[in-house]
Amino acid sequence: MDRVDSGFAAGGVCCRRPSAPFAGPGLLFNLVLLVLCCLAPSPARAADSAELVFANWKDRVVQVRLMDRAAGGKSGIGSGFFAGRDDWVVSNYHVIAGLVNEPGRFEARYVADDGSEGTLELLAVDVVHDLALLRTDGIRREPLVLADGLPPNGVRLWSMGYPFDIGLTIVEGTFNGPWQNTLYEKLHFTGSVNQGMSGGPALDASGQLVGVNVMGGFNQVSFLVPARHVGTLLQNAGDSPPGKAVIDAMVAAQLLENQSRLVARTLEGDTASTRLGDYSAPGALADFINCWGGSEEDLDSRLDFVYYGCQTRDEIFLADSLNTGSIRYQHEYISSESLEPLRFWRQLEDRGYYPRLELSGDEATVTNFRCQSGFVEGRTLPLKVTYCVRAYRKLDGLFDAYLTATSLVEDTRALQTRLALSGFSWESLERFTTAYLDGFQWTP
Amino acid sequence: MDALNDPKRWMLEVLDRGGRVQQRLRVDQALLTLGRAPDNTIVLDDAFVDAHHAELRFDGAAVEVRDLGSLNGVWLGGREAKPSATLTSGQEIRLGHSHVRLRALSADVPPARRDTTARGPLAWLKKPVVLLAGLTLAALALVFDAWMAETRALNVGILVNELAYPLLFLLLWAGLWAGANRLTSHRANFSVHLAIGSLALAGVFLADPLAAILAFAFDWHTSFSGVLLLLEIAVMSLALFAHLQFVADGRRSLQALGAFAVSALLFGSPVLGDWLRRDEFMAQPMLMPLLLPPDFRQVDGRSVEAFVRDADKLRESVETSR
Repeated sequence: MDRVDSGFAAGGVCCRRPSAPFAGPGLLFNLVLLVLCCLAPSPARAADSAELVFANWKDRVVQVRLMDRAAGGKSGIGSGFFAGRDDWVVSNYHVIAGLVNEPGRFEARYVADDGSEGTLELLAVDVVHDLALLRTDGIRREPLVLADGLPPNGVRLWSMGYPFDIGLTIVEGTFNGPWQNTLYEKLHFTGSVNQGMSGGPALDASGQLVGVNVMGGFNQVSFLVPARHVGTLLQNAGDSPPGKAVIDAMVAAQLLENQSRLVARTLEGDTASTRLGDYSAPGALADFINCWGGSEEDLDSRLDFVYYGCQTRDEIFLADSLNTGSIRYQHEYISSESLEPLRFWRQLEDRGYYPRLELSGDEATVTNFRCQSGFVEGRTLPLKVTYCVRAYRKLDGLFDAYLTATSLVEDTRALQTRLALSGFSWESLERFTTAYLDGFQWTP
Repeated sequence: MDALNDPKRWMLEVLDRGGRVQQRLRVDQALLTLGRAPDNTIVLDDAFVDAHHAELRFDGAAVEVRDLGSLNGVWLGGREAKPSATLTSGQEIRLGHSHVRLRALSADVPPARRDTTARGPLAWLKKPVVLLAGLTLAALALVFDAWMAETRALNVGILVNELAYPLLFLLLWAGLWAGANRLTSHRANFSVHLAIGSLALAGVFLADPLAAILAFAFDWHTSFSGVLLLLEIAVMSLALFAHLQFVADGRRSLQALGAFAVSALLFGSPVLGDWLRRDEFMAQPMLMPLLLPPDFRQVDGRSVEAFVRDADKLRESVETSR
């Protein structure tokens, strides 16, 4: 899914380096404020049209620009809105990730609807829900009010922001409830949230904040971060910018807490399994894990395949080169009626050389993999297992893991599996990997 | 003139570039001249030698060499005879690119050496049945390799693809060794070199499956490349040593050392290069699956818990590299 950020200016001049932590585009405008405020005609006649929402709350939305100090130009753009205090602006983490990852290289600036500009300083982040809290250096606006709970499905909402750097825009759409079965809660909004609108507010008719634009780019299918996560972010924020070390520790702590929740939810209760040939293997381990299956007869290789693949529906954005917080696995039941055992296993060996599930990350964010390999006695079958791990360089205590395993039971029928875990604590890796390997059985 | 300095008890040997005697001359006069001009006692056909380059004088208590003012000088070992120097039996002098050795007629000669190629431990390589076996083994190794890489039945096209280049290479290899052999002796021994080459080819092609079987069967996964490297070096060292034994008559221990050094360099340097680059960043893990049919397995595996616990070593390693 595309996050709603943008790397280019409307004039078509590309000013975003591929490696830049990105900045989001969005515009922030929207906001709504609600209630009773003097700007709106009256609560009873709360805005019931895009025109009124725009008129009443456009001044609560700003454009957020991530500036590359060396270039003095926009490296990325997004949106933001006033919330909590009159000098606090909320945006998406992914819009200002450059401030976290390379604080010396980037600075964040805002441009308000009246054209006033200034600097933004980072107060707090919520990487799991892709939120950031910033403080303006001068401009003050009345903060938007957060909606209490979720509106009924079908209610009209208005999303505001600065798509493609072309000025404050309001988009009308309907609220469709939470995105089912996702680990990182998001709301489904049927309106066109486009690049540059990331971090902008989605308001109801009374101007209350229902969610924050975070993901879009599909046909009218967009996603919002629920307003309650904004509330949590505001509650936990301090008065002054905490500095890089504190922000890094905040990010690591949020990821660790999140992944322990993720693993607990995955391993709780009976482990779901799926059957492939005479083998059973881990199935959809949690409601937020989405699985697909298929089969194929490959005449060229004389192998028959049955596939089963699962993955969490969403990842956490940390940097341009690094997404984390995902669980992905694939099983293949491979058999052949005609291939001799030696050649059958050579085919299996060749198929296992390259990782099929790629993990993101580059030299700046993760270490090299280290691997071990050997026979493992599973519950009812022996397996040949290769297990590789690497550490996150800047975030203490977080690891990625890649595991492949092949059943060693039958001459020309085998189960081969791959597992990729990103952003796990070591203890969670151990728990998950143990449970995963225990999930394989041979039950002819 | 006493017996010691009687020129008639001396001999001069003109050596070729390989250090072998090209020409022997008994000394019968007290003064000899060396140079490119035809009026010298010993005429050296060497562009780096002067027309009248040096003289040898068998005089009084010593044999003396004297430089007649040559362009490139007269050298004894690393020392220049300037203008003259004394010679003893067995000593070699260099004039231009030519080498001349002084030898007393009474000097001892080393004992005769055993002809290892005719009667020694490698004589079996001359038997036609060895050549036949070597070629058969090489062809089988190549066909097995092709069969393993394919999932279809083998056909003539696949076999031609698989066999043509290795066999051509084999002929070229044996031909080069035979050429070298002919330069150093009156025989080329082509069939011997072909037999050695085909056995080596078979060995190199079979080293991989053999190492894989060993590493898989006993769960020496991490040792696979080491086992393979040792097998390859062993095969290539033996082959090179055998080739050298037929081609050159140098010392056996030196030939063995040379064969091993070349083999280790040939197969070891890529492994060494990979090892030196082991810390280069790779975004995805390097998986080396090493799979064979379950029946090849000879040892039990670890429990899941033990395997996961053993990964603590990986943790230390990656945390250190942060």
